[in-house]
Amino acid sequence: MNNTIIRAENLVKTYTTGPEVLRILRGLELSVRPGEFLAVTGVSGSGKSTLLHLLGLLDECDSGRIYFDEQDVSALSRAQRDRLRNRQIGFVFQFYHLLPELTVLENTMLPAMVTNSTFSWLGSRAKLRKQALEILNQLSLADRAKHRPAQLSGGEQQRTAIARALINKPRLLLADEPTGNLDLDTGARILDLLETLNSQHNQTIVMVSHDPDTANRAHRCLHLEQGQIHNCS
Amino acid sequence: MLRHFELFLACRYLKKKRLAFFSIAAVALSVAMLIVVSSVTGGFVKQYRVACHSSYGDIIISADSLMGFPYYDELVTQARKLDGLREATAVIKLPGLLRIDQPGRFKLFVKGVQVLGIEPKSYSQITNFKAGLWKQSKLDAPPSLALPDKLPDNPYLKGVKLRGACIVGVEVVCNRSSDASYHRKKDLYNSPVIISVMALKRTGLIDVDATVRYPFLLIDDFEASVPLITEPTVYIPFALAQKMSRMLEYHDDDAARTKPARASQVQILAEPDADLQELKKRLREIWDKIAWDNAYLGGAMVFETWDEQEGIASFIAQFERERTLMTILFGIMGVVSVFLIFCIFFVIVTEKIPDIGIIKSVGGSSAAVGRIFFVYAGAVGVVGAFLGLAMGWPFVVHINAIHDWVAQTFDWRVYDAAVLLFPYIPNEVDWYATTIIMIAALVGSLIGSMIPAARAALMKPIQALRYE
Repeated sequence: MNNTIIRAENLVKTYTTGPEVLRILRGLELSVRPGEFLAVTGVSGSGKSTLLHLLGLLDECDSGRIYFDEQDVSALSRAQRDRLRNRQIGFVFQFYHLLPELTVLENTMLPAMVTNSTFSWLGSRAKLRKQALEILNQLSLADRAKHRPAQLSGGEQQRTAIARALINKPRLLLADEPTGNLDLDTGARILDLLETLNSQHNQTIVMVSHDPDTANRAHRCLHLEQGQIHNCS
Repeated sequence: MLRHFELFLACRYLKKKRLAFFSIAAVALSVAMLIVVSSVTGGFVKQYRVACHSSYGDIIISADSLMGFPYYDELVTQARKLDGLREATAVIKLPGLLRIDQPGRFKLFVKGVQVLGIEPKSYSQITNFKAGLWKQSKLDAPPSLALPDKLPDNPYLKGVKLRGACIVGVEVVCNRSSDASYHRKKDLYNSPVIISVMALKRTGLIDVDATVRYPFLLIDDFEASVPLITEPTVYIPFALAQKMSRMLEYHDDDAARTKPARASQVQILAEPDADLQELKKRLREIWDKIAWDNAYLGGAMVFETWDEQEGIASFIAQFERERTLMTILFGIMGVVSVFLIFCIFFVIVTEKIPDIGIIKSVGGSSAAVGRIFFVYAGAVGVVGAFLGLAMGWPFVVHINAIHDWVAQTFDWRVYDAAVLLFPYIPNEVDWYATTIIMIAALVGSLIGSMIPAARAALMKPIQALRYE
């Protein structure tokens, strides 16, 4: 069994805005073990979200390597990266990022729809629908299945985003400020949910947050500063 | 290959995005407009072709001379034995004058006409002659140019020694009104008319001392489907026309032999599936043999299919060019629709950038994102094309009723049958052109969405997710 589910090695990422070059990540090293609930903190603009996007294969680093299951993802083709992202990685964003035209159930099923070809979808639709409804039930959203995002509260939208992230049973869940747009109570419930997922389903979670209290809910906390990772003090 | 979620999202966007309705409307209007223009202009061409075809049969054999040609009866007899041929008939064509003089009823009326000597039964089998007759079309019997057994009680017939009956082209004695109807002067029928033809000597010179004029009883009129394309015509019995034109058999004292009777044309009706060119070739062979056997060295003979006749081919070609020009001009408006689709899809893609980020974040590929917008545009094209068909089809079918309604309601008649070539606006949908137009609408929609779809596909997920 691999010791790490995902590992970053000497990651460098810069952004150029006009004449200014921003060195966001400067040779960052990070490894996450299976079943771990890791929090990454840092001030705004420190590169937390950038790190999460790189780990989730949504962005490409300037140099360095990322290993998923000890496999170098930079060697993968674009299609392989898309497939890996679809099947092994789930995302939860600060602003939920739900498709407004789809219902809660349809948003939840979206990654599964992407996974399946037209024919396999026809064969597995009923099963996946049942699975999506089960997840929504676990997240207390069963009665909202036919609602659209605009008809939901912030907490419900974020739970829908979590349901969507879980539908393909990903090995890694990446959460970008999952409580950043919610009030304290709702945010706490979302963190409870993530904790439960981790403790009961052994779900590996990497969460970034600027809030130390939120980060404290994780097993391990790392702090991102000057483009490098440090242990939280 | 297209995945389910691509089709699903494209359809959902189509249903939920009102902006796309403008694209659909643009496509639908363009398609409807092109269906109408193409069907109407194509209908004019078709009407003209049908009218010409039904006026002449399939093949016309004529002498390149007003003197006509002999042995026509032998040609007709032998032609009727050919496979692929239904009927043949001889016709005499003469320039002439029609004179109506009925003091107290009609003013003196003289008009230049083409006198057509026909055998009505066989002629009506080859052409649409019977169908166009005002009175006789309703009868079961074949059309007739015989005088009635009992002459009508008409004071103007008193003392007139009628030589036969005649039928006039309706345009000769009536003017067509704006609504394509004819207001016939009913007293004119069963009245005497004088038909005069220019007499030719056997040498081909005009016999100025012997213009032939015969009184005829006007018994009916003939309305062609496209009347203005033919010259004003008067139909008389073949035998009388032959006599008036001096085309009867006669004895040539100088040559010490009998010269056969002549005709101007032989018109042929072929079987529907016959190869007209092949039939024409075989008819020429028959004629060459007849001419050889009879040592006939007369003038050139012309063998033509109906659409090869002088004037018709160039007229049809001109119509086709006008149709193409009209379609191109209106097609330019279709190009404007493509540009409109491009603009609308550019806006839609811009609005949907966060969605693109979400789709890519859950593993949707760039190609899949591109396909979503491509299918979306395709759906706009298909829905727009069928909506356009739903608008254009009934419009074409009811175009004359719509036109009449506009004319009555707003006193505005765009299509005036009194002055235009065709009595009615064609109201048959050209399905071949319609199919092409609908396919072009789909292709146009796809072209219009190409750049926006490519822009969506090439967008980096992180760019899309961070887009405000």
